[in-house]
Amino acid sequence: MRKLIDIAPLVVFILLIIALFSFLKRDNNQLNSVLIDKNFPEFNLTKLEDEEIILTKSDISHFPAIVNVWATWCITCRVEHPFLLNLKKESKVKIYGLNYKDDRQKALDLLERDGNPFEFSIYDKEGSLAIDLGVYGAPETFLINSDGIIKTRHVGALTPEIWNKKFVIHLK
Amino acid sequence: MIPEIGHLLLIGALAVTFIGGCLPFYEFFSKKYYSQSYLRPFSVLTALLVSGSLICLIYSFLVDDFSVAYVATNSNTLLPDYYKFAATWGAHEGSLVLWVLCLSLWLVGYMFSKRNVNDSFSSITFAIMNQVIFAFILFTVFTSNPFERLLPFSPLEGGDLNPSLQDFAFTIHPPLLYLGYSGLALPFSLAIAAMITNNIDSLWARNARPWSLLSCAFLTLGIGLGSWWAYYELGWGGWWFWDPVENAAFVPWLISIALFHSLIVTERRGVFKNWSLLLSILSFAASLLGTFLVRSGVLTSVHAFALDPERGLFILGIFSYFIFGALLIYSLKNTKTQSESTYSLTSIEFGFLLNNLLLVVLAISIMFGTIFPLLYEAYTNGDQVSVGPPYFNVLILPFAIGLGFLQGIGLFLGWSDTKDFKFITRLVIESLTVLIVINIILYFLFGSFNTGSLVACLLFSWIVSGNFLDIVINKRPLNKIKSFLNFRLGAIFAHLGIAFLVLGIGVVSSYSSEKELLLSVGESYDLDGYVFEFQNLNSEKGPNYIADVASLKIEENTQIITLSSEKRNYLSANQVTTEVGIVADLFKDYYVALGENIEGDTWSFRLQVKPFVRWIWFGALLVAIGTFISSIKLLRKET
Amino acid sequence: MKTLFYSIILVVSQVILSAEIQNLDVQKELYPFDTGEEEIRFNKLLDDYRCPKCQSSNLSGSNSPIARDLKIEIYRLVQEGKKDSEITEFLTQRYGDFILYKPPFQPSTYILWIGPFVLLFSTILFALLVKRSRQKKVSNTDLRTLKKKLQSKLENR
Repeated sequence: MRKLIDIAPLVVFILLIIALFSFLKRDNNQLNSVLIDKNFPEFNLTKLEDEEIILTKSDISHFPAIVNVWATWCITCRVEHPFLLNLKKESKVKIYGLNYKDDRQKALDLLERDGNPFEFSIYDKEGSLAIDLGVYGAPETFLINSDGIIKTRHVGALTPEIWNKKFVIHLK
Repeated sequence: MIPEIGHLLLIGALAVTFIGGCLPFYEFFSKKYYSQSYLRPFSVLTALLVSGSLICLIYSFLVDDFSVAYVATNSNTLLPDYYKFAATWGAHEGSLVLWVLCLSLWLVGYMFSKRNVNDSFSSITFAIMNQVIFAFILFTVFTSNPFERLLPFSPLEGGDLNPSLQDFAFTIHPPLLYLGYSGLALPFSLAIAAMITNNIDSLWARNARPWSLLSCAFLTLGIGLGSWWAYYELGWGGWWFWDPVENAAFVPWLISIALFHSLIVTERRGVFKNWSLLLSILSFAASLLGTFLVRSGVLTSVHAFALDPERGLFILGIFSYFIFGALLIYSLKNTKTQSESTYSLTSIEFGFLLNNLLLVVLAISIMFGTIFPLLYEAYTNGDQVSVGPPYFNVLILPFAIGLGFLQGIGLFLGWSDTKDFKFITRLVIESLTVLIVINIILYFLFGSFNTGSLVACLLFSWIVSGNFLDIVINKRPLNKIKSFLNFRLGAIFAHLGIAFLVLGIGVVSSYSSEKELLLSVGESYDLDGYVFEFQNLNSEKGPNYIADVASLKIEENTQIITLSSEKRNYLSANQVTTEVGIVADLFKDYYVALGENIEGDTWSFRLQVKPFVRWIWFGALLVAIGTFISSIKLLRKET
Repeated sequence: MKTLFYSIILVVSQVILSAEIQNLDVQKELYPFDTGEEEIRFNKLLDDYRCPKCQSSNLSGSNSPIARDLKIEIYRLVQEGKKDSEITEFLTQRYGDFILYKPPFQPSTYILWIGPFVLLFSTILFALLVKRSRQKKVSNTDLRTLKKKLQSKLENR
């Protein structure tokens, strides 16, 4: 009985080390989206390119698609932009934009100047759709697969590596 | 040149501690003793080498040597000299040198605290301490070298010391905290020495106790200072957030308290030997674990240090080596250390046992809660959860009540058994009296009677009765009072400190007033009887910042107080910080945080009145004083 | 004369009084509420929800854009009369349990909520059992030594 007490701390310690080691190996520093395996939320917002047109969820119709959250005040989005333009050329995935808490004219000017990879952009001035998506910063990208289900969400700039690792597997 | 010297000094210390960590073991196991008299000179040499290294680093900061990468990242020419000095430990690399220095100072302290260090017990202790120092210098030199150069193109100007660190409290908070963390290495080393040399006895316990008390004292000061600094620096009036880094310091603090209580029993009655050994190992383990959590990037925190898994791996290695080694020795140690002394359920031994269990289970629970999100995410394969103040505040309450109860009766229990229970009636009457008095005072001061603080007031009354009031009231003969105090002065201070801490927490949680609102220049607001008036807004220039300063006048009954709060824009880092305006009297703090300029001369403000908040840190100070008194007394008796 | 005097006083004091009240009324609340209870509830909610973007902060202590947006959203929900549980559900549907500083009480978190107390009671129980077994051993040893002493005394007769 006494020997067991003496060895128990050692056993607990080994378990702890294993746990701590596994924590080190974890490379996720994003909030995991809880919208995975759910439908895209309903919304009712104007189109960035034409404020007369109201867009709703049914306007995101071509799947597979990605919805990219972007803004002119977001510097990382600038870094990501060429990748999106390239993606539009090379992939059949439709790219929809969510212009997040931005100035309409500035946003349009940016697309004019740097190119527009988006089928259209939703103008989310108040960030209400963003909240419904669980967005907490820009850029963020949601992947909707061919069945219209959100399959993954990435926070931060998209790169070819991340595209291949996180997104491609859901495109079938 | 100087940075290279600093680097070389560290490497020199590496060599010295390597020898110091191995030689005593060789001597002990081969029974060949070269000369025990190298212990003291070696420890002094190590301390000198490490101090020299730190001085080189400080020098590099003071002369703006931006060819040193660490200086370039953490300082710039506009930074006041005082903060350049402190920036030395403002980030990971430099703070490690400070850590190592603290370890070496403890070793010197121990080596010179005893008249005679010519025994194997002292030399093994010396060896283990050297191994710890060696491990941390190795870590520094290999993964976190503060002396790395940015050559050949060194910048002409540096980054900046994080503006929220540009504060007096910051300069002393890390040194105090590190002294506390590193100090736990000493009881750890003593425990291992006791096990290896088979000297697990009262003498060992007597030797270890002052060092665990001292470490606790420094941890208390470090944590208290951190709390106070967060209070006036962060802007929303909080003083504890159960942030992972805070918990990383709180857990070893709790265990060190359990440790020195347990050592009392081991010293006096020769029981709890295994438990005291285990606690000695556990407290240092908690210290190392805290270091790991804070520096590995595994947990996110406001306080986050270098976020580097590679460094985390190294610390994990250090952690594994020392704690696995220690626990292995523990499992193999001579088990004939069982003593036969018995004690009843109403004895002070059992009281100490309960105290220990409450402290250690609480510590384990806090640590578990801190890493739980990581465990949860791994176990559920992706689901994430947060564990914050709502959880920890609920968790700590029953433990605090249990510990507070024991603190009240602690001085009345007897060794082996308690025969006289008359004190209970006295305590109940005394604490009810104090409780009523306190509530009357609170009513007079703040105009209401709040049940939220009842538990805290009750604990306060109970502890004050048992540790002060009853001593004063209960007529003992004068000579007995003197000897009573002689033994327990430190304990009394410390327990009273906890009482004030608890009272402060309870009152500030229940009696505070708060309002977030917009004010234009000239406008006032009545917050629960305190009228705040926004008088004017000025622009001011500091050494490395430009500030918008809002002046306010507060009226309470006939009293008029003025204070100001600022929004500072630090030019080099382009960071904006809020300087809170605080004016305090004995019973409350007025706390104003300037917000944003909404338009024109309208600004947002956060106005608060925080009763008794200072008593929290006053209590912490008393705890530190008490533990200091006890440890100094023990150390002086030795020589 | 007196009437005039008094009426002037009346008018002047009214002007002064209303000016004072006006002064205290003019300041704008960031989040105005009808009742104090709603305000307290609102503030408590902000304390207990985590800012999704910040390293480690609650909503009330954060100035990040998302924290501000969420504060406005929660304010709207409180104004609409939604209960705490409904607001919590609104947030967790979008941000997950991560946004709660108080972990939910469910099977996967039982160990967190109940564990500490189970640990405390089992260690106290364990200590009592160990103590009792040791005490028995001691008293048995005493009995044995007593027996031995008696025996040797008998033998020495």
